[in-house]
Amino acid sequence: MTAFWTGFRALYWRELRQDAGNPLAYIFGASFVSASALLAFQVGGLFEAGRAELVAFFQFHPWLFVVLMPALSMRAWSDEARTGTLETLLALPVPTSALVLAKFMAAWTLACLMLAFTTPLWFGVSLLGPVDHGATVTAYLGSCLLAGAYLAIGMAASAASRSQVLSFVLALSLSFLATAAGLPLVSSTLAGFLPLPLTEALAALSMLDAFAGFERGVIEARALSYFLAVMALGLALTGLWVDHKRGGQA
Amino acid sequence: MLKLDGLTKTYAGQRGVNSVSFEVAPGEVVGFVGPNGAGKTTTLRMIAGTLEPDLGRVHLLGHDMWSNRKAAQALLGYLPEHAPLYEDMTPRTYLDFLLAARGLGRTQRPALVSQAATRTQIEDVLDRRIESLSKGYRRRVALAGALAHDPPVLVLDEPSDGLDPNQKRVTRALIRDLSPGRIIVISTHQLDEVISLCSRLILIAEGQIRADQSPADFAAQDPKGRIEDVFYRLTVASSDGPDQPGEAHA
Repeated sequence: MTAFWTGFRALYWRELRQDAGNPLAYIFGASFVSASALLAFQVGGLFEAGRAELVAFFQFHPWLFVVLMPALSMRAWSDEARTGTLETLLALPVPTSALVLAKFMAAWTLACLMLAFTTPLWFGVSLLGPVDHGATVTAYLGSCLLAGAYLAIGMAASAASRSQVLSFVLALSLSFLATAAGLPLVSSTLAGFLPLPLTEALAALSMLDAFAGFERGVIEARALSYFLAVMALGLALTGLWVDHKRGGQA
Repeated sequence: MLKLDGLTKTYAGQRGVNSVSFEVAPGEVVGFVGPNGAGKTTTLRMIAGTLEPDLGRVHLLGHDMWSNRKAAQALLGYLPEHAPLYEDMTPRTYLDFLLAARGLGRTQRPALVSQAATRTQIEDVLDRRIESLSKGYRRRVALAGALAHDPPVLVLDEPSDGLDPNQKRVTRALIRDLSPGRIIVISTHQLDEVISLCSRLILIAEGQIRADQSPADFAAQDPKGRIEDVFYRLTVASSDGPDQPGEAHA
């Protein structure tokens, strides 16, 4: 087995075991499940719609992830730098890309597990009427990709700072911008002082825009590419930051 | 052979390490000494491949640390400054993680963990959480992590820092036992450790090598053979040096 995979596997399982033993992971999970259900029922009017569908549930995921994913990723690299264990990791004969991918995949696994805990809602709604299961699976897939995109942003923010708080605030701000750019209110405000093509481009780059198709049960190649590109960019930046530390920078 | 060739590292416009060159042959135990901020840890980090030099090369048993980092790091055991550890792990899981990341198989690892635990005398705490261990045990767990894969090159930053006299004695005996056929570089503030353990002393101050000789020859520079006074004389230009010769401590 190559150094990449041995390093990846060892760190991936270490991270997952760390999360499994960390009460914060359970708090995040419980917060997400309860908040998403609460928003779906109280704000989204899941029952009032009179249709057996989960759009009211999925539509709040981007906003929940804006807060939860930075919280989930803030420790990933900043803690390693703060406690000095980054030095131990960097001394291993493992490529930086394996370390970056392992931490990301572990956090993403946890995020997908959190999503899996919301499936009882799906089954509950299916008892009330015919649910389009294909569309729901697609929406779950979109939600997983969305979580991955936010986590990749969070990982890059975490690698950029030794402070968990700073990493969280940075990731939260970037995630919020990447989400809110698609809101009509934000677009119209930006149109006041930015050229229209740029405003439209920013709106098209919004997480909301990319997630919209998945919410409706449609997998669009453009949206899929968008999420994968955000993840690739976030992880590439994380790798650059980690290698930057090898270059002697904070 | 470990070969450092003109290693230079600059921080914020100031040279932390300035053209450091030396060679260490198998069987040698080198004591790398100097005042605080002299460049010891920076040099050790560059040897370990966790910090990239601005100039110069590190060759480790025929491998260049920066063009063939993984191969070089596979031959290296490194104890970083302050012995950072994952608090949530036990020494057993920590050592197993390091060995797994280095590509050692599931069947090989338990024996190597036991061997490292026996060598560093941490068998009785192998299954306790690291966060609950005393400073002495933690230091020895980190040391076990450096030598668990039985590397031919050991780079140890303050290996006996925080240990009580008995633990220091054990650690020094261990390093002595490990030394035949191995390259060992130890950074330390404790000149008595250099005398009792090292075959060679390299003194660094203000990023430059000021002495490279046997501890006996180094001490012989003082008429009374006081190694502390030679150390003081050669490092007095350093801003962190003690004020008076009589205040120089090991």
